[in-house]
Amino acid sequence: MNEKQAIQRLKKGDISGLEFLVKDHQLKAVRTAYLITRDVGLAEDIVQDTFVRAFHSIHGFDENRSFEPWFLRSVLNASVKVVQMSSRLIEVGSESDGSHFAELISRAESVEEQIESLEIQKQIWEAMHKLSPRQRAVIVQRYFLEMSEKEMATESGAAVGTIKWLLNAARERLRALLAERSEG
Amino acid sequence: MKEKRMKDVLQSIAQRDVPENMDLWPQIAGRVESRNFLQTVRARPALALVLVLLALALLSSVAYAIGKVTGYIPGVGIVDQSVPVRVLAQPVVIKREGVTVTVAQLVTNAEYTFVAYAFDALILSRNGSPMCSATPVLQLPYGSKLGLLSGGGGGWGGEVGVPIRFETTAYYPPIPAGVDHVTFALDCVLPEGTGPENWQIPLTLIPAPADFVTPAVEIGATFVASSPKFVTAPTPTIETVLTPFEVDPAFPDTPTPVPSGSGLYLEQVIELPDSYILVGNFADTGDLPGAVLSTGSAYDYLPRIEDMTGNPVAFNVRDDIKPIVNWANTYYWAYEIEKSVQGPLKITLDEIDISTSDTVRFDFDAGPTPQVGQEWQLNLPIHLGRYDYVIDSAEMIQDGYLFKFHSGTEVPEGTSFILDIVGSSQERGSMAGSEDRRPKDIVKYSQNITYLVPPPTGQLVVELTLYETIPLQGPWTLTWTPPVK
Repeated sequence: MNEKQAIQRLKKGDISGLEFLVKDHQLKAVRTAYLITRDVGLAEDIVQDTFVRAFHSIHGFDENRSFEPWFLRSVLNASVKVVQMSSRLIEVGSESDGSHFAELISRAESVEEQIESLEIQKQIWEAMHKLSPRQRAVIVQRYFLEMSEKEMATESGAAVGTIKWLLNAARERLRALLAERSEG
Repeated sequence: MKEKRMKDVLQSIAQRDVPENMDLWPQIAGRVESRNFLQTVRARPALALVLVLLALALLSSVAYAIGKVTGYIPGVGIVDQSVPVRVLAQPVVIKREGVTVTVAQLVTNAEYTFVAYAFDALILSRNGSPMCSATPVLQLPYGSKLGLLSGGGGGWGGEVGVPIRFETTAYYPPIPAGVDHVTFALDCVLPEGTGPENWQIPLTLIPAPADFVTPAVEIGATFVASSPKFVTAPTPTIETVLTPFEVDPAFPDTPTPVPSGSGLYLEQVIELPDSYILVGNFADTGDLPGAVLSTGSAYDYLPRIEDMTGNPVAFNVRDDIKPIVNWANTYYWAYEIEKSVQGPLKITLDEIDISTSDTVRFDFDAGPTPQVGQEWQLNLPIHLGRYDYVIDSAEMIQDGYLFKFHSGTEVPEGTSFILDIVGSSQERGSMAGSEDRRPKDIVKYSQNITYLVPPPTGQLVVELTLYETIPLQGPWTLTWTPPVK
């Protein structure tokens, strides 16, 4: 069975089609959700829910298109929403402390060269935690899912310029956070 | 930031924490098997009586839901009062070594436990997080724990060296009836090893005061909707199966379409003492000339609301009454309106964003053994969407192909492309594209596609899809008449 056949079967009510899709896409989907939620159990719940909802809306899906982008978009949206729902940000703001971040960014020119050890891995993971859910999502889309800015724009329904802005803001904040660590 | 290294880091973290052998299928199969059973019934008329009885039972439950007394707590949401709602007896503040933890609010009802807490006097440093990443749990007597369902995230900002406050909310499973003492437990507040650890904050629950929960009654959500008609043919659906399924009654799993197709749909009306909260969605049923772009922000696609005389009606967006999952092509909303307004009320959405797409396929013969660097001049005119393009060339690159094409400058920024080779998606690695608008009269595009296995060769069918986001003018309206008192 290939993906197209699986979707055709699913549209006819044969859940072996869903099983094929789950087996094929669950790992990447849970890892994607985890990078945003930082909670494996929550990520699994989100992906489960998204598969169940896909099951109910599969009739509207064109099986000639790839399932993965459509599905991962829903996983990403759900992950961002779950984190946003329960977070009350005090001041994540780039506005209130813009000069501070600008100063940090200016000192962080060589951060790119440092991502090569477990320590750096830990630092990035901690820094990711401090990004807003939406910023985390664009970082995951760009670097984990390796989507181009145009693909990200298409999937999120935003203009390419908006994606560029979001991605740049996320990258700059990540750089600033890593710079803070490296100076410590 | 070097992209490959960043990708490697994220891959390592994901691989470390999410094991390869995870399997969600047993749980998912359990959740969808009821549908499978009903489809079997549907195909066997001898069992039709069972289905009819089941349908009657469902109708009864719907009827029961209307008029159901529930409750609303601003900032918390709708609470189920089928068991008594309990709250924190009083806010609890614990201070240790200069750090203060405050549990400001706890609400537990039949469906969930909501906790609002804050940390004070965290010192923001240049060295990273001012707090540890431990997740608090609710400890019940005899050692059992309630783990976080969602929440606990957040961020901070401010001046380095200045004390800051971090506050957040979290959702846990409901605290069992009869358990009136729980412990809010945190392994740490400050970064590990830098401050007091093992925080145990005792909390005492009491029945919610009589006026704590705003009484709310779900009333009938009868409405009239109108939608503009579009000439574009709807996407055909192969089969529609009506399937009873266990869903959150507040938010149907599949949005019910408005009678006239895509548009505003009212799902629920909550009556509070001084206001109504209208809960609904904009459902895309496939009859628009593109897919509606869903949004996670309650403030996108804000409508106009008018009273019976056409005067604007003020409303509050209620972001605490929304489904957790925002489903693609469905935009959920909840608006609170004062009871004093004169109905009928007309909600008008003037414009939405839709994603349109158009696909063209063309043949390309790469030959049996194409070499990296080999290039083919195609000069193939195509038409996509509202624009004309010319496919200039194809080139074999490492692990895939690069296609170059161009258009005139009438193509605006914001369009995007997906390139695919038909029949090869299973082994596809990545796709990427770029756009060059520097010439005054043409726009040059490059799209490449790579594979995890040797790329396909020979006679290929290439598929190029154009995506464009455009505003679609309505209006879509929904008219709701408040009940006569």
